[in-house]
Amino acid sequence: MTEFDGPQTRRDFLKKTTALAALGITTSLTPDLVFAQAKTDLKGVTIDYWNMIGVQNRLVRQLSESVVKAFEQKTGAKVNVTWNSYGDIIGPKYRTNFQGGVKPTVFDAFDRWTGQLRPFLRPMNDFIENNLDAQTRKGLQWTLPLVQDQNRGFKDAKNICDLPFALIPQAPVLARRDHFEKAGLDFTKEFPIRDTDHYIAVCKEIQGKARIQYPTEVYGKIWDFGDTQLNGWIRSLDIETSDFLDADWTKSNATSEAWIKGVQFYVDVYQKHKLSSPNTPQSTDEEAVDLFIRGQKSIVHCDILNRGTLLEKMKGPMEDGTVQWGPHFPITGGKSGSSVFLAMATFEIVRQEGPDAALKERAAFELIKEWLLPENQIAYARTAGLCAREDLFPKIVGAPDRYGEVGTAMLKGAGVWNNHPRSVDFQYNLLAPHGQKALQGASVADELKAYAEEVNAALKT
Amino acid sequence: MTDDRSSPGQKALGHGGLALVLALVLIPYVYVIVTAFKPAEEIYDATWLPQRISFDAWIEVFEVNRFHLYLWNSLVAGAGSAALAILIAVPGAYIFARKEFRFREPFFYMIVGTLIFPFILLIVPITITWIRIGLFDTFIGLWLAFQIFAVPYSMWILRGYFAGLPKNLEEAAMVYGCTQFQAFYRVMLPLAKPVIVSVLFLAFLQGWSDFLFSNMLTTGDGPRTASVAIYASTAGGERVDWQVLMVMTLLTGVPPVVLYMLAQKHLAKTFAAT
Repeated sequence: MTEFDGPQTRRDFLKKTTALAALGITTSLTPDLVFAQAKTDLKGVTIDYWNMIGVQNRLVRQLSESVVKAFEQKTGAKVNVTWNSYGDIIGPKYRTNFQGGVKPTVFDAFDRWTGQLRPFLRPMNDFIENNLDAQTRKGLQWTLPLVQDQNRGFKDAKNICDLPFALIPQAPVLARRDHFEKAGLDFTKEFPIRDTDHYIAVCKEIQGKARIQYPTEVYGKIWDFGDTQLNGWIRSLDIETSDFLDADWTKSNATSEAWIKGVQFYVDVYQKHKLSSPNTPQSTDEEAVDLFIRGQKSIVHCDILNRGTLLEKMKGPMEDGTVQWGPHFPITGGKSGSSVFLAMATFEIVRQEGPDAALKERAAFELIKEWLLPENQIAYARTAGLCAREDLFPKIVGAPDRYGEVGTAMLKGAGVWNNHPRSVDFQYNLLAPHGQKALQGASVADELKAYAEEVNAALKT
Repeated sequence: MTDDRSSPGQKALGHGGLALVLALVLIPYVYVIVTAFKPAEEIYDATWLPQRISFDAWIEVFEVNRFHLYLWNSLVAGAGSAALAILIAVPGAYIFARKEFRFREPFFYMIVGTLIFPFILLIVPITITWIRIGLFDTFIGLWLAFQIFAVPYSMWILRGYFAGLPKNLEEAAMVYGCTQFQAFYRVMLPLAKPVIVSVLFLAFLQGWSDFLFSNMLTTGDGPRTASVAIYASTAGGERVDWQVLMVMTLLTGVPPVVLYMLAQKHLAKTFAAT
């Protein structure tokens, strides 16, 4: 993979990115000086922003606060920020509040969680066409067909109600060079992992020679069974049936051959190969990252969102190249050409009512534009993942841990999950219990059949 | 248990067992305290004591998370709920304990019976109703929602206590010139002080630590409580700052412990008497 070639030192990376990120913070805090020409008069307009992305990561939260402050100073508008948790949108809170009339002007979320709120959302096609500068529009253009695809079951699928600002390809591999070396493996030859046979072979070498009892992990817990590495393995076998639902959202894909084979391999990592810990039916990628940091794991799949934690908890190994990211890999024999699903962090504008509705909606889009400025996109990417703007990808490569190179390389041909109003149930609540049973010895085919029946019944209601 | 007739070996075994149980109970608390003072890079170290004592998490909790605001909200939510529960439950329990009227028992068990209803089923209708009548995102809304649980169990405890008091107490007070209300106010209430303190404590604790209603009925800069703020800092995402979480846990856990120590005598009397 030539994308990962070429030595990069920490100094090189810092030279390139610190100045850009510093500009992001500086311009956000003193926007009048730098963006005076971009001023938009929205004086007297107040918007409500429900912020989810910044709630947990201190650095993102600080960036988010500075972006809002910059927006207020530039436009004269006021923003009431509410910090919400992921559980609020996955659970009943957002839906109940929206139905009751308690709604923000703008909020951020993950792309596939907003289908339940679609009737409340204002399409942004006109804003994208008329209010976005050419460079930003060009940088985001590639994401728009993906957004339309994941909303394909809605009659108004062409309407862009979710505008991506950050990307989380699922799921890159994090590896410890020191464990490879301890097992006598040449890291430069054995990493990135090529396919599942290679994965098993490397893990067994590490298990046997480096004495790491469970060098990798597959995840059984509700939030990670269906959204980390499993889906990419299924996709590597067959793109058509890899999403949870079929093309027109009429039935589950889970009984397909690709699903059965993919889940069987997932179970085998734990049951047959004994490479995943006894806690597997309840394990999460966050826990695996904890164990990785403690030196008890060698190869784990996890979101690039974990990068902030890694930088904080194992700064040295991240900077000297001991810890490296690699792309997700296919099941051996998988010839589909893609083994990645792409989750996107998106902005949504809620339809407003009353005489100042248009002004509020415009103000909401202006706030989104602030997030899409190069300096803010790059500052976000440095701590929490990838930015959505393709034109800025060259600015986020070069770190010793290669997160930028790996993340952007994974985007080629990546798929997106459906945004059905009940996607949370399909992807998490209904799937995980069956996955856990399979991990504990039940027949994979039977469990997937039972899951598909539940999904199909839900689709009919 | 050991007594004076126990052999030294039996005593040692008894004390050893107690020490083991005590350690099992205390170790998680000690771990919470220690972790709250660990720097981020030492969180995953398998050591008990931090190599460097750090107050970074404490600073972050107050400066970044502004957790003191949520603690204040919890205090107001808990205190208001406790006061309202007492205002409703004391006269109610007194009537159900000391007065005879038709359907007294069925009415009482209808009220207390709501305790076995799963509250989670009420959360969506209550949220919608609260939004419609303007109680959403207000302390009053929280206080009223908490009464769904606080009033029935307060009445249950208080009624048992009032019913156990001698019947001639009020009669004696009235012989000495008290009205019915004065007999209740001057005689019965002072006698019920331990149980009222206990009920206050329990109702406060429920409001202080409630998550379900506090999460669904508040938003933004409204009366969001500490338990919701802790949830928001850990639920979902890929990052848990354990040291920050431990500081929040400590700060949220300490006030009920202090209150318990203050109310301990009254609680013991209450549960002995009811």
